[in-house]
Amino acid sequence: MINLDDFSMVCFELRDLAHITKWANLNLFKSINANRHKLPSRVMEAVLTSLPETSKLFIIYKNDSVQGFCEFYEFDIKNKSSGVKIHLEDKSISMLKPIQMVKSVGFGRFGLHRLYAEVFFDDSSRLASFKQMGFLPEVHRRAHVFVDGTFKTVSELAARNLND
Amino acid sequence: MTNGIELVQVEPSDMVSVQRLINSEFYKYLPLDGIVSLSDIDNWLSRLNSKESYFFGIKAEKDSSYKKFIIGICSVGGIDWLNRTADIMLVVDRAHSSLWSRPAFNALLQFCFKTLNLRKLSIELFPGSDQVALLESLGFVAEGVRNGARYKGGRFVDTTVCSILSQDYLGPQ
Repeated sequence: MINLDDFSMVCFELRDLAHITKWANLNLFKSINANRHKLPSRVMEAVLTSLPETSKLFIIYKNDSVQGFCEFYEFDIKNKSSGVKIHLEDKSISMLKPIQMVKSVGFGRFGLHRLYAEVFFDDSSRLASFKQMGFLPEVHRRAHVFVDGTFKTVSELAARNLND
Repeated sequence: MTNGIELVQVEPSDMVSVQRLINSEFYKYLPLDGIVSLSDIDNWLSRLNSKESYFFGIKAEKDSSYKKFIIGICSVGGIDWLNRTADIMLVVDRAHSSLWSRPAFNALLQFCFKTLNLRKLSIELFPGSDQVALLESLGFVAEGVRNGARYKGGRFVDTTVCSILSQDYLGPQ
């Protein structure tokens, strides 16, 4: 478990399946990735219990209540890099501490060199949060993700472990 | 088969040529690690040919002396069928690159856009790659630089991401 003030982050367990399924079926995944929405719980269970080694899923708690999740994806040991997704159910909660926890885990425990996040180009609040936590825009992936009938542009922001 | 270029599945008889390319200096420009043994390469290729990726040898057909030899390799990886995007990689042996790189890219793009019905292709270029001008002439657009994204030659190097949309290559459908 990783703690930062009132936030904590623990590895995904099957007891958290209901939360993930609910988020997925509410299409909240669209805010970070369009791949896993509209799946029934038994399919979600199969997906989540057979995640590849390149994917690591954590549940985010605030004051012991589930707030969201984060995922390290495309975890690349050789190049010491990983993509990160963060989703918080309550939009009013600041993403700064969860991002800080993700950086702490990625650079500290996992010893990575580079973390990157893909954020929709028009999601200004999420972009601002990542920038505030030291992520810099690097790649402008035009027309990259299909959401609600249109292809949306995605910004890839990255942070590097300067001590590496 | 396009413009004298043929993209072929790699057969056991092609393994030595493919191994030579992967283990050559070209590994510097590829998202591969080089140093693949012949005994490994079969497993390696079967992993690369899946629902999410294809791996081809590039054969030139006009010149009979080339016909028996693979002059390059290419792949379509990370296929995202929902978003219809993929990452490509292509390398042609330096002795043949000036002549065959463009037809090889055309063959790969046509396979991706016309056969796989993909919509967007991305390619990651390593420092020193000589493919930038060729890709721009084909319609690729630079989307940005990924700082320190790959570890090559003892250090983290920057890579440039370029992409092309099907409508830019094929014209409006």
